[in-house]
Amino acid sequence: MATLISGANAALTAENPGLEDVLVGFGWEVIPSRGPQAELVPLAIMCGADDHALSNDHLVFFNQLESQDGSVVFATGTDVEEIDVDLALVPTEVAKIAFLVYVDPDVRGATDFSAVRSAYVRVATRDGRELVRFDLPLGDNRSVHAMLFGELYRHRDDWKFRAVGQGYTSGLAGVAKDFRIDL
Amino acid sequence: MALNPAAVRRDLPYLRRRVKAPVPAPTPAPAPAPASAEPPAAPTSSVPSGGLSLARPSGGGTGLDLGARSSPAPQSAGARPAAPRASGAPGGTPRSTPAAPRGRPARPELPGPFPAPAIGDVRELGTEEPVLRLNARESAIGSLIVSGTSAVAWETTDLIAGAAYADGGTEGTSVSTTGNRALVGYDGPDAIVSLRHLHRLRRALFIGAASGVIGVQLFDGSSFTVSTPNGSPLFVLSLLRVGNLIEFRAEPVTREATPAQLHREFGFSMTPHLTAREPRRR
Repeated sequence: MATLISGANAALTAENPGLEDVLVGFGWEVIPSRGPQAELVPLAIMCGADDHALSNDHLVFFNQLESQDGSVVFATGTDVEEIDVDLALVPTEVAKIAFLVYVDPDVRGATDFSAVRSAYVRVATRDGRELVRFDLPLGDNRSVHAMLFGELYRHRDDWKFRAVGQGYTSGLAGVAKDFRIDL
Repeated sequence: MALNPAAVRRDLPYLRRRVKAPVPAPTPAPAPAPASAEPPAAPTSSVPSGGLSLARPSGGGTGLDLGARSSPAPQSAGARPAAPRASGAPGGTPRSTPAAPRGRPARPELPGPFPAPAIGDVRELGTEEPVLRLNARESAIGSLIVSGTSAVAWETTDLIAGAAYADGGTEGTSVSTTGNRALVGYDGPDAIVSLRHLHRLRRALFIGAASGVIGVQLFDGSSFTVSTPNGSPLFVLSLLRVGNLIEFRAEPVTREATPAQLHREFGFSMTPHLTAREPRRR
């Protein structure tokens, strides 16, 4: 298992010949509160070579559990949330799959990462063997409402994973603008 | 009679989250990913589940099978049935594809819901345009804010029903979410639906205040109204979850009807509220 830092990347298929599908697992802890509590939601966005979402349908989250091609699917497993990616089924026009987590923007409060601790994203094989892990450096995140945890991307004929950890103070509106999706 | 022989109801998108079979203990000494040149262990075949099976018993019986399955689960790790590959010419696929056919079961081609206007297509629901449907993203992000109401009623998927009134009154049973917020309730003068927990909601009914205009606003700021000018019937706004989509319908009702009468008319049977208390100790 390799632990990544922000900006680092790891070769997945090149170092693991025969790797055809991976599990992307997310985890976090939220400091308990008697009042409204932050609710984190993972989001996978399938992007083209221009780093923009191919379409609004190339977005996978809890209310759109599967991409149309069936390559990116929400699953229930040992992590807080898990997304399965069948690399061989990912359409060729998809150059990158970005994995974000946003705090649900409920108008009744608790919509930032300030109460979030021990957040991570990890990539594992189908049988659970962890390949890479990225523990997000969470400092003062009172103004962060969404965060790009990492991304799977094509590199020549292979797939790599990059740890990012970039926060969005503009929340989902900023995510929508960056990836050109309607949210 | 077997209830449903299919392993997964793929025609119901909101039920499609796959629950994985237990993963056997990993094989010893796996090499770290970046440094390893070894191929990963081959996917292991699934272990037959010992859980509840709704499949038709092989012996021809008609009851539920509460014992272990006699055959492995149909969709097991590493042995998924064939499915057509995704779009993209095979020659252009950067990674080589395996020789054996693989992939997820083909998604059945089901007819979608009947056509309905989207939120950008209609500014006001009423006699002319009574129905509006949100897409999957609009139906699930943030809060649905409904202003100009005097009462809201809800019914969850497990048939818990309740109502809240703008004056602070409540009826039936309130439903709280993991975010410590009401699934449906009032926040100041506005009725709020927690869309993060849409899958728990079956339907809701918003009753307008006497003054007249119900306003609905989404996370992205888009909005519409339900207007009830004088002389016309009073409209209430019905919310129905259809799979992963929210559908709104403006329903005409008589102006004289009370909220309680409207709840009954729309089939909301309030769940008696039970106050939890510590169990008695001797």
